[in-house]
Parts: sequence; structure tokens; C-alpha cells
Amino acid sequence: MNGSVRRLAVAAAVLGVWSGGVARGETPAAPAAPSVQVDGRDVSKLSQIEDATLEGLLGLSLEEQLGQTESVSRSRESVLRAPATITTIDATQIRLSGASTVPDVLRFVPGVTVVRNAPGNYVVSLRGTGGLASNNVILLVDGIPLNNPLDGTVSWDLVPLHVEDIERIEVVRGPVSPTYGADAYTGVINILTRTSIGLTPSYLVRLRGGASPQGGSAGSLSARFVHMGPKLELRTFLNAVHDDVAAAPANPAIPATAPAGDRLAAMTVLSLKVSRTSSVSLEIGGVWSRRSGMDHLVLDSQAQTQRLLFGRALYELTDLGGHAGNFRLWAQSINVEIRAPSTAETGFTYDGAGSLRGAVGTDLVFPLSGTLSLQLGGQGSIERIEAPFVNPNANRALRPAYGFYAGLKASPSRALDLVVTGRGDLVPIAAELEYSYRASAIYHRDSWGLRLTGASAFRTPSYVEATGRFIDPASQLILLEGSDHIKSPRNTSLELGATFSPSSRLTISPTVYVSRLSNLMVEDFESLVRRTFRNSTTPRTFLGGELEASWRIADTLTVLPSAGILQWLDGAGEGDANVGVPSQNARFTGGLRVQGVLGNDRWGYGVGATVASPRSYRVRSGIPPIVIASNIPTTAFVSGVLERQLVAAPSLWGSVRIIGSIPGNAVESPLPLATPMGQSAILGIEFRRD
Amino acid sequence: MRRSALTRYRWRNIAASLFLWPLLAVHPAQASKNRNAAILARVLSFELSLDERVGPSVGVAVIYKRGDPASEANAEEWLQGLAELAAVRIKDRPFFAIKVVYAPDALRAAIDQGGIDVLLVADGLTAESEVIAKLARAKHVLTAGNAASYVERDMTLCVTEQGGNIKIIVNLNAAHLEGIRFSSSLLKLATIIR
Amino acid sequence: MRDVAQSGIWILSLVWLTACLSPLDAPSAFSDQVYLCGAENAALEDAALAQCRDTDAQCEGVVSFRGTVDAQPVTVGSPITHSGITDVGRADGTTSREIFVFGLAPYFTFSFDLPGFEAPPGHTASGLFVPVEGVCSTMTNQTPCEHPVLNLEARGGTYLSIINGLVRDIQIETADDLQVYFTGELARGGNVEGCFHLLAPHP
Repeated sequence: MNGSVRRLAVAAAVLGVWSGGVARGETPAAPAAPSVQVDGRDVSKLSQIEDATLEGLLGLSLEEQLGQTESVSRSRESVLRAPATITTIDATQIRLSGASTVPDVLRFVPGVTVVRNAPGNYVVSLRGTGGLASNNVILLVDGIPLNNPLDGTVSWDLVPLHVEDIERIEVVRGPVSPTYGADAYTGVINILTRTSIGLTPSYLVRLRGGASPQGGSAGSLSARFVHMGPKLELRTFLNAVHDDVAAAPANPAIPATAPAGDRLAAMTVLSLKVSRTSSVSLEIGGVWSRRSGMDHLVLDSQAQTQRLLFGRALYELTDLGGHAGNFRLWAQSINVEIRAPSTAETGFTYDGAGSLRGAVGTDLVFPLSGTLSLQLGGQGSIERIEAPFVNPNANRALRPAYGFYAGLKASPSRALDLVVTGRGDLVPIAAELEYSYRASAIYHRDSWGLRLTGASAFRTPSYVEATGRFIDPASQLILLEGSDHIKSPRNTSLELGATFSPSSRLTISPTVYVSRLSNLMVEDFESLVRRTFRNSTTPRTFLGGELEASWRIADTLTVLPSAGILQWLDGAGEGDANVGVPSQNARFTGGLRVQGVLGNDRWGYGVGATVASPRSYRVRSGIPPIVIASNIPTTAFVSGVLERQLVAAPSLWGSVRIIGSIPGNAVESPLPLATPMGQSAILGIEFRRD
Repeated sequence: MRRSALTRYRWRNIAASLFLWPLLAVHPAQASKNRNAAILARVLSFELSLDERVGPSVGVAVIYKRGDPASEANAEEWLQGLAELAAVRIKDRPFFAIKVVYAPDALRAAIDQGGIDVLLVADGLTAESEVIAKLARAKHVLTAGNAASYVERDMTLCVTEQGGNIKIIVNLNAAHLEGIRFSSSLLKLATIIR
Repeated sequence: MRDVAQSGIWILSLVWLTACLSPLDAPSAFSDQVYLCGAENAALEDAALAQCRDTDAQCEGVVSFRGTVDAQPVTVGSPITHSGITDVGRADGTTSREIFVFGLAPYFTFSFDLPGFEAPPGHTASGLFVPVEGVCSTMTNQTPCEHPVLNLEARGGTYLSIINGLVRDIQIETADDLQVYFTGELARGGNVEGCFHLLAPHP
């Protein structure tokens, strides 16, 4: 009893002390709160707060840091969980790359091959499909395809924006036909137009001009206006460009000079938020462009003008089914006209070619449960092409095409996504249903993700390949003809990709893949009696690897290395396929960019270099055909920029850009009259409010 | 019949629990406020106009409402969080934080003579936020609030928790009126209110 | 919202089901060509010859063949754009005449080369003549022909390919004009049958 009374008395005394303390407003000493840690370092022990990244302080996961995309599945998803390899180049990276065209920005993306034939004339290809043809990748602007419906080619001079009016470029590599349909068999390049995160309305006018030691000059005048209101969004872009840098071939014995690459472009985006969950938007744009028409069929350097008109109306409904469902209904059209007032004595031009396509489509994402969602979509389109080099039976006909896709996404756990998508397309050229599919498993944690994707996709033969009829004006002989029994080239690929972030400053993304290209197109000039496009009977299989990283050493310094490698697994095959020939693809490409902003964002700098290993070509091409035999040695491309805010209010910026190849007369295109990449120094002045 | 140990020592256990509770309690509120304070300091390093408007050091005044214990407790949490960073510099400048009871004259004096460059408004001052914002605009100091409602109305900045995540909210119009400019590197990580 | 989505999908399904996909039709240019040989095509040949006589463009007759050349099915009916005659005098005083006819297919120009015409006694160097006997009609017999009896030479684009043909049967009909029928296999693979009708030169 004494013991229990004693214990009670002690307890009462302690209680009294404690409660007295509470009454005085003091709490007993609490244990110290755990220190704030970023990348394993105690923030309170840093000398500068800038030594901790904001992403680390906010505790952003890798998924949140990488952001979102719509370019892989045509619906919004995080980049980490998207079922394909995607590289995102944001506006700051574009501006600090020093590049003045989209292809020059793309040089730094692993797995992308860029070849400049002449000013304004580029061929861009992905993953082992380097070669002479430029119809193996889809160019999108805000998701609107801008490939020429006639032959599926991409004209990079028809991008309707100045490169610095681009918000982001998303390069999706691998077979993505299950989403985009009958052409996206090596990937898509989606250019997103600039929005504004700063003041609204914002506007900008920029003037650039410079010259080249290889001869020629380049300049541009462009403007943009952006208003981002709570309900109404209006964005308008204007761009005028002149480029005749290094327009003369490197061989002084060749007198021909390529015409300058000139263009005028305008584009407007109008969006209206109808209600909390629905919006409508209208995008229209047009480009007039003049450049050398040189390509694998036109071997001469004569000028070719193109006029592009495009538009899309889009209705979007979000928040379906209570969580993250989405419905879109869209209508889009594209018209491309080509004129080539030829001054050449011989040779073929695309003069008189016109194409028109109108399409309507729908995309629906519907959550079936918390872990399962369904994606459905379809489109119907009508095309009309007209050209003097098309079989009269096929000219001017209206041709419909249809596609329908369905996908299922399951997330059995928070860390695992399983995605399956299948698509069928009925296209005018292939008389049967063509299919494509993709299956992906994506495992993701806070700071890393792993993706395994198998996919098969095809490219529908173009009207030129199926119905072309190229007649020599001198002899009236048919030099090359399409074949209406031609099959669709196909790409089947298995890839394993990873993204991991050892710290909030460093992100590394390696990818390995094996790819099989079959039914590749051969422009068969070997036949004696009738030369046609036909399919190669030899599939090409190759292994590829890509690596890219982003290392933000400080707020003022970011390093961005990239590398790509190709290893062909089967023999050389037929040399006349117009893409996918091993010797025509650089075995190794590498790049490095260093960039940053300084001085309260008043200075910006960037420098980058890429290098591509040698390529060689031995192929019969052109109309009339000649043997193109060319060895392209290791080529290096460099671009850099230094910019400074000259006046704070109104905001006036000056810049100097250096861009070009080393050496300056290096030619990276095998075409006989191709001009060097050249070097140029460009000064710029920019007035902006944003 | 023997009573169970639990009932025999029931009162002792209860007393012990009451004594031990303050020692054992974790302070999640303080842990997150330390992180929010670090984020606020980091956000200030993204301010492009900082060099033009601050002196040799960056001063933060945490404002609370007199007679409102919740407001004062909130201010105290912020102060403790900022005090943790006493040795850390923002753009090569040391920074300090003080607690100030809301009164327009006191605030004006703090800005003019106390070297205050940031007004951090604790809970409970919704009615007074307009006056605070007006003063800040006149004096070109940055206003930051503890709650999203502040930044939706008058103030420039808020670091707050929403749905388990920490969010930075920036009101660009208010920032413009206060003469504040932020780097786009910050704006792309923040929720923007125009 | 679900209704909108559903109706959107129905619309597209209806379009798909109701619209027909017209097959793409881009036949080769050979499908526009007419085979002019044989009794069944006599009328076509006569019409072609009449057109040849009337035209201002150079036309010395008609030539036509069909078969498989270079693994391609080929049909050609063409005016003879020009012809050539080469006489080679022999030691014994006889003359061996070689005749070329040139024509135009959609994809290539071509020529037929018919050597080994014996001049009849007392021939003059003008006009066409047809050997009465001893014509080379087969490669298997002992013949005075030392060369393949018919060459098919095709030129397309800027380069030249030659198919040496071993044409086995030649039927020559006597007339003022020279009519030759032939069938046979080609050295590079393939076979042809055809004819040409070379109009007699008018004084």
C-alpha cells in the first residue's frame, strides 16, 4: 500500500508540473521534426537554396517531372506510362539549341537521321529507315497530319511555325499505326504550338538575319500573338523565311545552284471552353514555300513551289464516367498543290500535282472501372489526287479510307500498366483490311520506369508507288510506273525502354529494340521492259539502341547527351530499296548539348554538336534513272546561341546564332546536286511581352 | 478473486499515458511546414526581380492576427520552418524571418525600416488581405499566403498542400502589380492564376 | 455525354458499312496496246496500216508482238517508226540483206533485226525482195544463217539492254510489202510471237 501511494504521488506531481506548463502556453519539448532532405542532402545545411531542386523539394515523382503527352495514344497520359519511346524537346531547349529549323532541332534526338539536300529541303527518318525517301515518318502539328496525301512525303518547309513558336516537339519512335493509322510505321513527330504561361495577352516579334562563308544568306521575320483567357484562347503565328545558305554544290565543276528556301506561313488556333467539361477548337493554317524540288525522283535542282492549306475543328468532352474519360470528335482537311515551272532541260518534276484529303474521326477513352479503361476510335476520310504523273485510271478519283481502333488499358496495381491496342484500316491502295497492333507492359515506381512494347505497323503505299506513271518528256517513254498490286511496307518491333532518375537533377533513358522491316519499296529500274515500284522480298532485321539523358547540374547549366546505335542482323539484301538499306544508315550517332540561362534569365546560352558515322549509297534512282554512288564520311553538325535581354521594359532581346557543319562544305546527302550543310552566323532581335 | 493487471494499474496507466503523450506525439504539421518554408525560399530564388527590389538580405515577415490562437500557431509553424533555413542563402543573400502582428502601421514600418521584402500571411487574415495586398503593391513587396484563397483573391504566391501533394500557386496579375517577375522555370511547375 | 459518344461511333459505323471501297485500278500501259497479228486480227492490222499510210509522221509499216519478256507479260502494237536495210556483198557475188525495223512500246523502244535475205538473181538495190528459197527458218537445220535470226533490242530510259532472241519460225509472205511472222524464245528468258509488215517504198 505504501508503494502504490508513493507511485500515485509521483504521478500526480508530474501531472501537475506538466499541466502547469501547458497552462503557461509551453508545450514540453517535442522531438525535432525530420529535416527536409533533397537528393540525400539536408536542405538546412546547404549554403545556397539553389543547390536543392524545386522538383526535389516538391517531392515530384519521375512521372510528374516528365509531364504528360497525347502523342502516343491520342489521349492524355503521362510520358513515363506511355506505351512507346518518346523524346520531348521543350521551348527552352529549342531556343537554346541555336537551330532555326525543326530538322536541325531533331538532329539531337537519338534514333533520328536528318539529311539536308538543299536550303529548306530535308529528309528526316527514324530508326534504320534512313535512305532516299521521305515518306516514312508522320509530321503532326497539334496532332494534325501534314504529310502530302499524294505520296506521304514530309516537306519540312511546310511547318507553319517559326521554330521558336513551338511549345514542344514530341518524337515518338516505333510502330504507332495502332493510334495514327495507315502511315505511322516508324513513328510520329508532333509539333505543339506555343501556349503562354506568363502574362496574357502575350506577343512577340522577331527579326533574324545572317550570312554564310559558303555563300548565301538567311533571315526571317516572324510574330506571334497569344491570348489565354479563362474561356477563350486565341493564338496566331506568322512566319516569313529566306534561306539560301550554301546553295551551290560543293563540287565547283557543277554549275547548278539550288534555289533559295523561302516561305510564308500563317496559323491560328481558336479554342472556346463551352462548359467546365467541354470545349471546341478551330485550327487553320497555310504555307507557301519555294525550294529545290530535289529528291529521289527529281534529281535536278529546279525550284518547286508548294502551297499547303489545312484546318481542323475539334470538339472535346472530358470527365466522362466520373474520372478521366474523354471524348473527341474532329474533322480535318489538308490540301497541297505543287508547281515546278521547270527550266531544266531534262528530268522530271512534280509540277501540277495536287492532293486533297478530308477526314472525320472520333476518339473515346472510357473508364470501365478504377483499373480498367477502354479506348475506341475511328476515322473515315476521302482523298482526291491529281497529277500528270499518275495513271489516268487513278487520277482525279475520290477515294475513301477507313480506320478503326480499340484498346484496353489495365492497371492491376498502382505500379503496373498493361495496354493492348489493335487497329484495322481499309485504304484505297491495299484492297484488303490492313491491321496493326501494340501490346505494352509498363512498370513504374517513384523514380524509375520500365517499358516492354511489341508492335507491328504498316505504311500504306502512296499514290505514286501504286498509280504513278512517270513519262520522259523527250522520248515519251514511261520511265517508272506504280503497281496496283503493291503491298504495304511493314515494321514489326519489340523494344525495352527504361527511364530512371537517380536524383532530381538527372534523368537517363536507355532503350533497346529489335525491328524487322518487310515489303520495303524498291524503285526497280533494273527491269528491261517495265520499271515499277515493287516490294523487296528481303526483310531487314536490325538491333538498335538509344540513350538520352538530362543532367541539370545547376539552374544555369544543363547537359543533354544522346546516342544511337544500329546493328543489322541480316545480310545486305537488295540495294535498291529506297529506305532501310544498312549501308545508307549511320551505324552510330551521338550528340551533346549544353545550355542554360544566367543573370536573372537575362542571358541565355547553348551549344550543341552531333556526329554521325559514315554512310554509303549505291542505288539507281531518279527519273530518268542514274546510278547514285556516294560515300558520306563522318559528319559533324554544330549549333550554338548566345542571347541577352538588352532592354527590360519593353522587353528587347538580342541574339547571335552559329549553325553549320564541320567542315563547312560537308555534304550529307547522296543526291548528285546536293548542296553542303554550310555554316552561318545569324543575328537576331526580338521584342516580346510574355 | 484477483483483479487483472489492467484494472489493478488502470489509473497509473492513464496518468502515464497523459504524461508521455507529448513526448511520443509526432508533429506532422511542423514537418510539412519545414518543407513548405524551404519551397518558399526556393521560389524566391526564381524571382527575376529580386535583385532590383531587395537589399543585402531578404526579409520575410510572417503576419498573424492578434487574439487568434490558430493564426498565431500557423505563423509560429512558418517561423520555425524558416528558422531551420537560417544558414541558407537565397541568391547569395542571407535571409531572416520575423513574426509580426497584423497592423497596417507595423507592416509599413517593417517594410520601410525593417528590411522586409516578403509578407507571408498566416491563416485568419482573409478580411485584411486586401489591405495587405494594397500595401504590398505600393511598396513592391511580395505577398504570400498560407491558403489558396489568398492567392485567388489578392496575393501573389501560395505554397500549400492539396490532395497529398504540395502545390505552388502563382497569381500573375498580382505579381505584376507588385512588380514581381518569375522565371519560366518556376511557372511551369506552378499552378497559374491570371 | 455517353449518348454523344455512342452516336458518334454509330455514324462512323454506318459510313463504313454503307460506303463501298472502289478498287484501285492502275493497269500497265500494255493493256492499251493491240496485238495486230493473225487472221483474227486482220482487220485491226489493216486499220493500222491505213493509218500508217495516211499519217504525216514517219511510219513505214506496223510491228506487233506479244509474249513474256523479262518476266513481264508484254503486248505491243506499234507503227514502224523507221527501218533500215544493210546489204553485204559476198565473195560469190550474191548479196545478203539485213533488215531492221524500229518500233515504240510504252516503256521502251525496240528493233527487230532480220538478217540473211538472199537477193534473187538480177536484183537491184532498190525495193524489198523476198527470198524464194533458202530462207533461214530454223536454227536446228543446216542453214546458211550464221546469226540469230531475230534480235529484239529494247531501250528504255537512258540505258540499253539487248535480248538476243532465238526465234525459230519465220514465215515470210511474198508481196510488194515485206511481212514477217515469228515465234520463239528469248535468250534472257521469255518468249514472243509477232509480226511486222514493212510497206514497200513508194517511188
